[in-house]
Amino acid sequence: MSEPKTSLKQKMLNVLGIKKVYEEKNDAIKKKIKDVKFRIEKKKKDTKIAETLDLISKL
Amino acid sequence: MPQTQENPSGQEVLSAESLEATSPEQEANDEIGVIDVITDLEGKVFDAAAENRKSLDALSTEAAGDSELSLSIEDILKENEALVEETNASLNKEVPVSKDSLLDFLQSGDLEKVWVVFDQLELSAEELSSPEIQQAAQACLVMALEDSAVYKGESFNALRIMENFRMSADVVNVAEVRQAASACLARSLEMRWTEISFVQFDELNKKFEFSRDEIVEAFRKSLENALSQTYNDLYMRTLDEIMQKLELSEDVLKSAEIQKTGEEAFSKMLASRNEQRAVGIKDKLHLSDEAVKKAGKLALYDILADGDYNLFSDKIIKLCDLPQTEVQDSVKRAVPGLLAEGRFKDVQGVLKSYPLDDEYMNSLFVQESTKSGLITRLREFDGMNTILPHLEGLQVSDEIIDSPEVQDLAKEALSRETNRMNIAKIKEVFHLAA
Repeated sequence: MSEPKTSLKQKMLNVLGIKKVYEEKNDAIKKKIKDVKFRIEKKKKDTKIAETLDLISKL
Repeated sequence: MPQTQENPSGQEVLSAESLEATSPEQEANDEIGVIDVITDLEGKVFDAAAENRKSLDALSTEAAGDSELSLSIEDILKENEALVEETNASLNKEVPVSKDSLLDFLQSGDLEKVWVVFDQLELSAEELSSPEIQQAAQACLVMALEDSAVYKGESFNALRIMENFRMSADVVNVAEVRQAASACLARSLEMRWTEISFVQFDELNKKFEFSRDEIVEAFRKSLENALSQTYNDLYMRTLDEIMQKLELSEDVLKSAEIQKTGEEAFSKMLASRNEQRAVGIKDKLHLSDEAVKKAGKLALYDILADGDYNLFSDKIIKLCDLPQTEVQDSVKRAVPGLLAEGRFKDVQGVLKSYPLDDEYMNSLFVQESTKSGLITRLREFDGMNTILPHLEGLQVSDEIIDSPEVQDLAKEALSRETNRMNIAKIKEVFHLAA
């Protein structure tokens, strides 16, 4: 069963559309991952500062 | 302005009506083009999802104990999986379903695309048994087996093709397919470091019902491959196990072909100074004394031609129990080559360990080799220094020393020399007037 040519062209355009949407959504996921990473790093730094301040207060 | 409409992903695209008509050939190319883009994107989606999962797994360990962060990570993971599912589902809908493209992919052996189209086509049993499909599947099967034979010897792709395309015995049992399957069978035996080596062997054997001769041939091929190029230690260590698995007796090892393969590998191992492997080959393949001597003689020549004397050469002579005449033959073959390259120090060393008679050293062939080596060295700026300490004892004839080429080059070297001792020596050795 061979499909009409116009349908193939349309399919190609649809695939390119899917690709674009996918890339946008994947970029958004990557951004969220980066954000979580930043929050983890910040939490680590805050903990360290709190520990240092605690140590200083005890001196 | 072209007409526009929305595609399933909400993208604004050109409408179908605005596109011009093309030839059937162009249509087929377009179809392949669409599948190319789909499979490429599917690969990218798979890789990117795996990368995201990896990053999130690492973050999840770091965020352990923080419920808020852990929840965020879990949500992103879900979003990641949903995106893969959603994208693949959308792409599957766009796969152009055509028997022509299936035939093209089968004939080019592009399995990834074959399965993409195959799953969508849902061909009937009647369509599957058509000569064109069976023929294309046969070509694809040969390619899959050949690929596997140079990779891991796995049977998975071949079996999948045979089952999905319901390939009949008369299509499978042709020389080309069986030959490729036999190479694949041999490869499965070589993959001894994988746990599935024998499983692959059994699967292929069950499917193709190999004859005794075909199994012996696959074994011979696997042994040959295991001994050549990158020596397969594990294969040789487990040779007994392999033979037991194949129900082969030691008599198989006595075949002329296997003995020849063993002899060559034994010689090669000796020449590469690997005594342990060489002894392993000799013992496991029960090489005859005659074969050991022949291989040893060749290896001795290789070693001496490399300018290696005393160190491994004595070991080869002892290991192969080479008689003096055979040793002399190897030395006689190696020395002219070394002389012609001007490696006089090595020649001196070889001759000290394995002296040759005057008659041979004075022969025209040896003298011509010496002349050629002398000229090569004298053409080098500092060549004289590599000649002078080693010329004595090499019995270079006056004819060579007094030849115009040697004389000219010696005079040039002399004119560059500043050391008085060397000047005197050059004059003496090369018969140059005071």
